[in-house]
Amino acid sequence: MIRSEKDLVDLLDESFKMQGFVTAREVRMLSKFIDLVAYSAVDDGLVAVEAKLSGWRRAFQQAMTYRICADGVYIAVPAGIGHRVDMELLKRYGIGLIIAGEDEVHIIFEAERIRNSDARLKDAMIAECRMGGLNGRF
Amino acid sequence: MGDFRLYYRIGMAAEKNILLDESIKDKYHGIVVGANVAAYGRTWVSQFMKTISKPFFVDPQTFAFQTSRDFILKNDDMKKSYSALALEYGIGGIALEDKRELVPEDFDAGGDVINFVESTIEFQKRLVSPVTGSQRSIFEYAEILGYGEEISKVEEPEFLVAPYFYFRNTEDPWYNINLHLMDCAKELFSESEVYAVICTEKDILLKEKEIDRIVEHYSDINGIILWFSDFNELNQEKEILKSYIQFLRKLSPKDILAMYGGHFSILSSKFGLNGISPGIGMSEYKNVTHRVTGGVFSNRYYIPQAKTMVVEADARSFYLDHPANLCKCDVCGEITKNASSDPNEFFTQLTPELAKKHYCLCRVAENRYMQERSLSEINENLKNNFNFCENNIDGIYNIKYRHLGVWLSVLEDVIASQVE
Repeated sequence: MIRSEKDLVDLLDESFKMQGFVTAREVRMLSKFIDLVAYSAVDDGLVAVEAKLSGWRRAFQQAMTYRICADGVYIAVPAGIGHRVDMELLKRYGIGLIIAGEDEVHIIFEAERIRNSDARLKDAMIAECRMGGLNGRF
Repeated sequence: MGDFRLYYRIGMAAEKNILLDESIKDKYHGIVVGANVAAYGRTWVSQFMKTISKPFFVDPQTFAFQTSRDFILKNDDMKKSYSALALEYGIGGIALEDKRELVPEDFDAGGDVINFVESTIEFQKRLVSPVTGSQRSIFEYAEILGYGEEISKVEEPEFLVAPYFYFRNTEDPWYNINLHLMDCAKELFSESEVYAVICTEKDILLKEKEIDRIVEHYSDINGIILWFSDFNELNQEKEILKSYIQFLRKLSPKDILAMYGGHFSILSSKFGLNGISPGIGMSEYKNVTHRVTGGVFSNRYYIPQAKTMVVEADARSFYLDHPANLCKCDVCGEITKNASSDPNEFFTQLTPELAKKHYCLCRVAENRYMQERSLSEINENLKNNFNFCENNIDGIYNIKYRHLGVWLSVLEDVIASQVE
């Protein structure tokens, strides 16, 4: 049962880990804090996720900012508000959509690969993920 | 009084380099320094004033001893800068020993008022004056060499500022105390230009009788500095802004400055405002009781189209999709020339100091534009900026721009009333 944003991020975190990603939560990027970042060493891909229980547009605006440091960006919302999301808007800017059910998450559509993110910021995010993955701090 | 004047409020020694930069220095009018900063950092402030050789005035900051002491406390002790100032003003007994704020009854005894006014204004006059024996010798030597006139130009403030306190309305006892302090200052320093500060709530602007009373009571002074607490131009409703313009027009043709101020204040030059005195890329407004606290430092960038500062991450996000809209000012132009218009590279090279210089240059350009163009042209330009933001920012980037619509609406009403 998703009662809080933490519950939502727990579910996302679990899901990314199951797929072989190392993850970190509340990762600082400039003055922002990204809810969840997930790194896959297989394709050197870094994913940033903004989770919101409501207010998908705010999540979208935050996600737009994360494009500067990630290879792919998603917003994640509970199933109950998924129908409110303007999917065309997300697709126009290459933002992916994840909808969370009671105990599983569904990628409704994939994020587009970002070509012009900042390599230095991305490296810093990956370092955070590796520390989080190794130390289990997050 | 001539052109609209940009003053920058100096708060940190690190800001000296920005204001001294050759690309900036000749493009703003002067400096404002808080008396607390001057009291605590007298050596560097006076040296800086001599080096920069520009007009300046001192904000006496007397209100700080009146409001909640939270404002000037650090871990229950008074901040060193305000302790130093309390001693300069001769109120150390109240502020440091009794550890209480000033109350209206402290101004009942006439003798104390005169001493207080003298102390606050003498402090301003002496800020850059040679006070020690060796400094005086250097000054005399400079006179022999023929530089005396240049040094004396910056020796004293451009004008003196009467001590002031915040008042809620004209019934507030502090209101009459302010008038009394202003009169005393004018009388005691009749050979100098003395300005008064009107420091009050912005809601007073909506009360016509109050405004008329203030205009009448301040009719005998040539210069006024306005400080409406928490007057963030980006959040104000149309009626407040229209009333602000009305107030400026009623005070005109006095020399009227805003204690802080942003783009709307520059625009208000068309209605009688003669200058602003914000911090560099910050402090465009201030709450009288605001307590300065620490926080995560974040680099901020002024978005010229939206007339607002945003954190670097949000600016980057916007320019990632709109690289052609990167600013063309001298600072940003130099970076884009080297960074091939890649927004990531641009922001990597944009140090906090360069971001502040960009802010200064934008303000200069906006000021020049306002002075050269008619109200209709300014209105048209504002409309273009608003439309640009509506089409390119709305709901996508974390950049506020709705204030442009409010300002536009204010301007259109003013233009319409002029036609009538």
